[in-house]
Amino acid sequence: MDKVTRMNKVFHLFLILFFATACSENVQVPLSTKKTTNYARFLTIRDEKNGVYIDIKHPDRKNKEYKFFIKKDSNGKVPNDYIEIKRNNPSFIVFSTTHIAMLGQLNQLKTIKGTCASNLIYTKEIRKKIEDKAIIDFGNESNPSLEKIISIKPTAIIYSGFSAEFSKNKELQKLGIITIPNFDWKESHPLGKAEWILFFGYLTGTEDAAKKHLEIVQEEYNRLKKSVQGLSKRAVVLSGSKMGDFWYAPAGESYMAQLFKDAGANYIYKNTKGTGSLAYSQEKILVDAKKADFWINPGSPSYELVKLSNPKASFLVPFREKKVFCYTKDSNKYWELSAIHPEWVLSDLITIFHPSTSKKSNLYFYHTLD
Amino acid sequence: MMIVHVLSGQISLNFSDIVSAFNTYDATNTNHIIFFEFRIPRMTMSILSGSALAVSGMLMQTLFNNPLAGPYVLGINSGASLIVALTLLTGIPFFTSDFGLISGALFGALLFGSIILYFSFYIRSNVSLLLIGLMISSFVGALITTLESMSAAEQLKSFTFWSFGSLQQTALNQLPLILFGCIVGFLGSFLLTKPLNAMLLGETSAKSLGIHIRSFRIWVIAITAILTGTITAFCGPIAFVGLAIPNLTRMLFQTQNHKYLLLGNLLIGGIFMLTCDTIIQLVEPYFVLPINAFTSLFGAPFVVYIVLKKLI
Repeated sequence: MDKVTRMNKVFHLFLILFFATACSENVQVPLSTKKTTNYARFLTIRDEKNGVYIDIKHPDRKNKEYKFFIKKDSNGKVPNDYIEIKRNNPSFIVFSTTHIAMLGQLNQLKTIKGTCASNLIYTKEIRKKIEDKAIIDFGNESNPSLEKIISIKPTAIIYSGFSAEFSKNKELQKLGIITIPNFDWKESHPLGKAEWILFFGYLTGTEDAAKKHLEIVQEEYNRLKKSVQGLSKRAVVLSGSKMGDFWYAPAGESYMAQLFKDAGANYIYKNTKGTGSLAYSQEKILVDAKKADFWINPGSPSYELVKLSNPKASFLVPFREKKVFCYTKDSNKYWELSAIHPEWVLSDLITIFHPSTSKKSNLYFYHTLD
Repeated sequence: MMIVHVLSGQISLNFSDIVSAFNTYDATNTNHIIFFEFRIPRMTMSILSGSALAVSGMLMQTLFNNPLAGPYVLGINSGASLIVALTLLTGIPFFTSDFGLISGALFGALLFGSIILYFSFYIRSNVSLLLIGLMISSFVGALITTLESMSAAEQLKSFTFWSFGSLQQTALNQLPLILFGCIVGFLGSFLLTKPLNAMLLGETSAKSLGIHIRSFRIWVIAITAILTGTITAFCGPIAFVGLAIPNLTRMLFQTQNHKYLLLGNLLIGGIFMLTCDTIIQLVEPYFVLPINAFTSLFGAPFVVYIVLKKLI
């Protein structure tokens, strides 16, 4: 190797080292306690002097985290491992109706440029915009058209994260489009689910409105919960429905089980572990629900349809006594709004379980079956 | 075996429950309800489905002179699946109910049974008929895949659960109808034992023995359609039994006489499904096992074991 070649190599090495050092901005992530979320398990937002740190944990993969940063100072630096979200003129493609509700609550529906499954959307404004082609309907989350996404060029795509990564993640990264998973649906506490509105608040610069909404929701939820805590008579509750050969009921640490507990009910599977579903034989349900006063969420809007889908449901006491309640008269309304209004769901359940103590007579989502 | 099946499950029943349920049935007694409304229909369906599918498989294997044939080769299973997929896609609650699914599946099975029956009037060669049946199955399978790709998550879930198969959907009051369909099929098969034996010698020899091939074929297809259609309608698609049990019966009975093969298939098919479902009942507290998967999971290694034992 001659001297010139060796010099060239050394020069290249310096060049590489220089760029490597310049690219990695060694910003220390502050370990402050300015956490804005209290109930959410998969979302942490820290509002610091230099910017907002959004950490999203994957519910099923222990070490998988998604980190985003919103700068407060345009000259500031983005910390290591964080992806910057810019919020000048934000625009989004959202893949869940709960995202629509959260943006709607913050008066930010204008930021939605694309969504999916238009037949499941409750908000009229969005349905109209889809009809007018002002918002693109991507069909489903698993395989959206890359070309259509590019035509919108959104600030971010917010998806439900059924799989670990968004299907076109690599291609979109190259185009500078951020993909953000939203695990609000995996939260087991109703107030934790509602806290994801803060995420949309920070994305759109409406964090104060989000905090205000959350404050009202939490106050009302806790007031309702307290109102039934001292009651001696607790309604025995059965929940879920039959799918195939098994009955799927919410587990004892799930979102629904938490709501039943806060509504002063005695849920028959309250002592089971897990946040998902329990699969039991119908025989077991029949025995365990022997003393059930109510059956919540049978999955059908009328007694006739429940019996058609499960002829053996007629052996259940709440079915015989016509004490079955569901939200299926307007499922879209429930799925879209219940995440941001857990106090409405709780209010409905308290009205059903304790009609004498509840001042309300009308229900937000639930109804007795036809 | 029947007693073991009836006494197994997540809720334990004992003999005194059964005796008291027979003597003084109390509609408010949970154990009585479980025995009459859950266990009896489930046990009956296990036996009937196993026997019906095994007999259908035997008929098809003899008709097409092919040990790899089964009830599915006629496209009857696929036809039932297609109509169920179509009805689920409508999203109309009636169609997604159990009753809607049974009606749809029964209609699909009979419709596709009639299509293949129509072809059998005009096509002479059994190989051509087999090919047409397989093509119908493939075509319908592709249609179902297309429908699945267009379905919403909830519809896809309903269809997937249906395709798992089930011996628990049947209510006590539906049993007489299923029993009627199966008895018609079994009696019909029994009447066909002579021509079935003759067919083992080949079509030409069967003809010379006075068998009217075309009408024989029509009867075989009609009986298979009734048996497979009834079972698919009430239990969903159940694979493996129709293919493996007739082969297993031939091996165990060491005969080609269809009188014995028919009885063997009725017996072994019923016992096989009863055993599968008893195991499912025993593991119910720990696992969710769909019958359609378990028949192959349990049956395939068992059949391989029998084959090896016979060879070695």
